[in-house]
Amino acid sequence: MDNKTQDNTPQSNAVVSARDFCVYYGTHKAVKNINVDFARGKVTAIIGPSGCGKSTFLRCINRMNDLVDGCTTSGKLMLNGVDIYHKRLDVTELRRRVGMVFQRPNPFPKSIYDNVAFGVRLKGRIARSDLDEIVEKSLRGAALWEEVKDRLSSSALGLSGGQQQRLCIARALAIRPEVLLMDEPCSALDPKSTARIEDLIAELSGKYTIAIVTHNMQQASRVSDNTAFFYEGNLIEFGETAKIFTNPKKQETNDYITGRFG
Amino acid sequence: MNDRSRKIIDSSFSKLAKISLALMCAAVAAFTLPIIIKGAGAFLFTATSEHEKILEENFGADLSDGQKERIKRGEIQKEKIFSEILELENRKSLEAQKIITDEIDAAFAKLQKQTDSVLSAAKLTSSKRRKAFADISTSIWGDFASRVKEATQMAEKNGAAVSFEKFLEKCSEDVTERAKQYSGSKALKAQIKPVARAALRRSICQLPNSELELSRKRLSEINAAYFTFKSGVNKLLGPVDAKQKASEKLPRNKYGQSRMDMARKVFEESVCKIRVIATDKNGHSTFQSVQTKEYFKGTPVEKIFDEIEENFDALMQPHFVFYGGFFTNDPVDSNLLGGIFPMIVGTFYLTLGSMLIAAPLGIIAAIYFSEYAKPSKITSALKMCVGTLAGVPSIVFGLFGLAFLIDTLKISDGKSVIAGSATLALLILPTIVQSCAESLKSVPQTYREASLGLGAGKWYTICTVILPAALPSMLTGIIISMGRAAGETAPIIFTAATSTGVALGLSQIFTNPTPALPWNIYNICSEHEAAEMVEHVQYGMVFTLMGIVLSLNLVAIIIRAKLQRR
Repeated sequence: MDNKTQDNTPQSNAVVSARDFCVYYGTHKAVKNINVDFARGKVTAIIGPSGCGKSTFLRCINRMNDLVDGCTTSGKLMLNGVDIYHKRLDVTELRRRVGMVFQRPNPFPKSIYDNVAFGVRLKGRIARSDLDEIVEKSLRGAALWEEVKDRLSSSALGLSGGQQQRLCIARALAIRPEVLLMDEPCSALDPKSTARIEDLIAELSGKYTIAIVTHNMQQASRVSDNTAFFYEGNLIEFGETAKIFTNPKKQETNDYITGRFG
Repeated sequence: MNDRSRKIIDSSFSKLAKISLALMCAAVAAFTLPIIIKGAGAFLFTATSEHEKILEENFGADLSDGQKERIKRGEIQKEKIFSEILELENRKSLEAQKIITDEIDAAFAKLQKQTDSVLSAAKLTSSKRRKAFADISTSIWGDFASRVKEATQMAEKNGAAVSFEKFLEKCSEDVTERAKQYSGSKALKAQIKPVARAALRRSICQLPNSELELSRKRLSEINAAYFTFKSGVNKLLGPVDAKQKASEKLPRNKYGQSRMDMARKVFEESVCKIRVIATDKNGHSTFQSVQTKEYFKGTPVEKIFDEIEENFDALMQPHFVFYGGFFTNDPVDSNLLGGIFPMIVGTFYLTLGSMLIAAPLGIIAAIYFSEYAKPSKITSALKMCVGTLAGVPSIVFGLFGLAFLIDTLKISDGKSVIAGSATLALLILPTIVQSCAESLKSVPQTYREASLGLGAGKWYTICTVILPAALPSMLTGIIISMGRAAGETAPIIFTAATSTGVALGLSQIFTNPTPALPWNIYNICSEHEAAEMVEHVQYGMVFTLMGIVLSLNLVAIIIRAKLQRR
């Protein structure tokens, strides 16, 4: 994608838009001049070799990189047209609207119920019956309800890895985010669990805007509508998944998806 | 390195590790077993009937009929011994007394008859006169010396040594008085000069009085030995009668031995053996330990001794007891009687007090270090300070508590529980900060990410995710520090500890010092006037302190296990 031909205003259906967005770790420029739009209700896969800045970019969308010392940004990154890195932006509010699922399942050492209810309780007091409803809905949404409905009060740490990851998705869904960021959500899971998560992503697409970082190109082609290929901090190519995987415009993309490097 | 040598190194290392572990276990066992066994002896022991008597009279214990019956049975046996002792002291050997009075009477009768030779002797020059008087004295006293010896032996054999000693003293006065009367009689007064009369008087008294003195000395040695024996019996069985009991000021003297082990010890050391005054070759008086039975061979004292030895169990009424009061009773008479309640309470006050001060401060500091502090020179300097503080010797903390908290801040007029607690809190604060910061650091970063990713604020994340996750290991660290606070001695010497006293009420902790186990263990082991009589209390205190510290650690383990299961 050519930076110069890119329209500087976000497309009308874009939820997340980056314009000349750069990320620095100290003086090292890890993400370079990104221009991209993630469309509403679509699943966008971000692929690329290790260290290409794809996770860094993803983590900027809900400002998780604030936790990293010496991490700075330039350019614009917008959520529904509002600058994510605006000084007066309420970060907690942003994170509530942009949920995140991490590489390794990270449920809290609390009960399954409390894990899902955690984000909901943040908003303030809520009636128990309403909370029950949200928990059930979220667990159903994450296709976990049937497996855990009898043991909601037992520790989340007793679940299998795949179940834990779906619980983390349910936890993220419980606060009804607009965008769901997934940072290699299946890399720590076995193939069976991976298949379930992929099914879940397919179910969620349309309802949520999803950005998923993955190393697995088959996964990207299976679950995503659009694909962005990152290489050495640059966004090399962005487009419909089918096109990228069948007919990439750039040589690097072709090399990567055919397994020449990465 | 080839495969063979690698294997040899591996196997020898594992053997070495096993040996060192076994050695450690053995050392721990060698260290704890005596404390457990002897410490349990402080409250599980074979008691004598005196035990219940002490409980009843000092701690208002209600005795069962069986216990009262047992005390009575013991009393009856003791009564027998006591009556024999009292009888012995008042027994008079009239025969022996008569021998001596007769002798004295006879001597003075002879003197009356020799008035003429006295008169003529008085006229001689002084040196000749002295010799003449001495001759007269020898002639009238005859074999008085052997008679006195005979009478003394007789009295000794009859067990009348105590009264006979007094009698001899009186005799000696009597002889002097009679000699004075004789030399001052009208017949002599008119004819003899005062100087000669005085010489006459001295001559008459000298021989009998020196004999009487000799016997008296011998008897007083015997009687001193007897009273040593008697005080041993008193120590073993208690005072001989109510009068003596009332006159004893120290509670320890009001009762006999309440523990069988102590009773046997006292019997062997103070009743079977006595210390007597003996004169060595150079004429110096020294103490010598002799067997009672041999020393008093053939006298009624030997009989009393035999009776005690034969009826030992009947006298002591041994029975096994669990003395729970060891933990709940106040000590009486420097821990010789009673329990260690104030020390336990004091230890709890100091420990809990230091915890209440140190735990919140420590947790806050730990949260700051692990969650808020950005890496900077100031942060690392602060961390270094905390680390250094953890290495400061505890005695320095004690001095600091005295100099700063008490003398400068004047948080109390002198030693007090609050000053001790604050000092202990300072002592354990660095440990708590370090262990809590370590616990917080060990909470996986993913928890923080998950919580922040859900839109939680930092403070909310700390309270709802990080602290609960770190709680088990934080509590472990805190409770182990608590164990350390419970056992520290040096800081409380200067700030809170006192060797005696009763358990404090809550309102007194700001003003009063308190006894506490660590300090009192030192005190009772090295400063106690009768340390060998309170060995069971020493072990009991050590046992209790170890029990407190170990049960705190056990609580830590249980809490940890429970919280981790969740």
